[in-house]
Amino acid sequence: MTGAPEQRNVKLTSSEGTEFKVERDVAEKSVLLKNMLEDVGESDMAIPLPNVTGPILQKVIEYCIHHRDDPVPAHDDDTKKTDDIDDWDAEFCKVDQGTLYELILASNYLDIKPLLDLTCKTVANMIKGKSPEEIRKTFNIANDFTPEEEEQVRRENEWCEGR
Amino acid sequence: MIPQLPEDCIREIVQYLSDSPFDLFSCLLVNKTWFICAISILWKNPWKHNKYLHVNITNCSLTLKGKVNHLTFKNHHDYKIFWKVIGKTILKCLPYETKQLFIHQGIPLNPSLLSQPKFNYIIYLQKISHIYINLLVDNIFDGFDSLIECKRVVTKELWKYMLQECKRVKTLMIPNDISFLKYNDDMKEFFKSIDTLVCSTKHSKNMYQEIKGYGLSLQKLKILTYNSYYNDELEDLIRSQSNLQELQIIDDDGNNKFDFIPSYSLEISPITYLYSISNVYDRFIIHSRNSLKIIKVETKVYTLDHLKRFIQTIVNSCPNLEVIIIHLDKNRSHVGRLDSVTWAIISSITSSDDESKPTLEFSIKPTSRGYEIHLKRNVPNIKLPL
Repeated sequence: MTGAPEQRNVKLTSSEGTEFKVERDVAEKSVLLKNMLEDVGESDMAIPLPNVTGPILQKVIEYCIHHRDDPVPAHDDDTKKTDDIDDWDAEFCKVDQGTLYELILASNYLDIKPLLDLTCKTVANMIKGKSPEEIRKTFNIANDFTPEEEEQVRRENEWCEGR
Repeated sequence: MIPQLPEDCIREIVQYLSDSPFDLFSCLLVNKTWFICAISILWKNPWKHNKYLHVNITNCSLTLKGKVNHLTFKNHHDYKIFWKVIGKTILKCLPYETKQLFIHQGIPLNPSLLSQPKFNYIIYLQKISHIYINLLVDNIFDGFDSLIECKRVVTKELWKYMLQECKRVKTLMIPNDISFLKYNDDMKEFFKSIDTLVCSTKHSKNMYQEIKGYGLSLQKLKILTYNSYYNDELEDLIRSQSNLQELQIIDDDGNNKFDFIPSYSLEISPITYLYSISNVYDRFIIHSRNSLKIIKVETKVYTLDHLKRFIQTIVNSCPNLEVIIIHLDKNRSHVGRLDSVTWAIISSITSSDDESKPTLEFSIKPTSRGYEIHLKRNVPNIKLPL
């Protein structure tokens, strides 16, 4: 046998049971799926993704198809920039906040680092310039500090306030 | 209903705000989960958030003499306030017994500092330097100027506690008084995470012998050199570092100090970046030529002829060199003018009729202290921006 192996489709099932067919190299943008496919080998069985809904999986696949030829990103946790989002990615992230959060959770679960970076960057940009109360309001977060605790945290870290 | 994000996702988000203390401050007040995520980032290198502090920790004048008069800050009051306020939080992190010791020694400790902080923030520190600790101690107490012995006690206790508690330190600038290093029972554990070490030829041989035994694996080494000190234990340390990629040699008087580095250590270490505030002798270049990619030099004594020979040596002996940056200090260099004559000299070295040979792109930029010459290899010659 000679020649390059044929690109096979991989079946994925969302939490509601909707089946998605994607090419293997697209699926392998997810480190979780890549490892699974390597462990399982060739199989027609659909891979269940109980943590990801159909609409979110659709978005994730859209991202992975667009970035299928991107090189594997180098691990570098010291350079965290927020101003390097290209036009396609910025457009991709123009979704409601619930969807953005679901994309963060899905990319974290599926281990797709570039998508996790993009979505987290987008949220970080939304936080910039906001007060704690505005952040809570924007992201629907309950404040579980007592007033005394909040005051203590404020006092102990006031060296960076307004700098 | 918007889902709540787990801690690791919040941490990912907050990391993108690590250069913005104002936003980090907002994040840590959101709730308890966000607090934990934000402090782990804010306290990695809190020193950098003092916007009035422009200390390069390789600044030899500052380091060797322990002076702060080289710092530039817009507002002296704000500058002191920063160190005072962060210093109080750091003091609060110290154990109860240490605080009692301070009181017994007559050190004026504000009663509010006796309680424990919300979190032991200092465990997240990744950069420890005697410059920062000295600034903390100098500014932490009001009217504390004359109590030299008390300051020493506080400094000693800060070092002792940081060496015990900080397990994630990546950059360590060794204090001039190395007796501060002897208080931790588990120094090996402390040194495990360090990849950047700043030290000097003045530090004792015993100290180098000791830290070499900790199994250091350094990527960057910055050495402050002194004319009258020769330190063979430091040589041994360099020789033992097979992952060393960046070497910075800094001296205070413009004299060449490369003789103290044994040539074999340079053959072992795959150094790709060399920075020096002194001349670079042929011997160094020859032994590191295959790995060297970037050379940055601040020269003080070059004449035009020296400059020519220097560039020639580098260009001829380092086949993989990509960038040379030469700072010429107009006050201390004999190079009075960088004009068309200089260009002609550099051109004669860097251009070649042979198309197969690599060429160098070069440019000269005026700086506040003189000139900076950039040479970049393996790109076509371009017109000079004169």
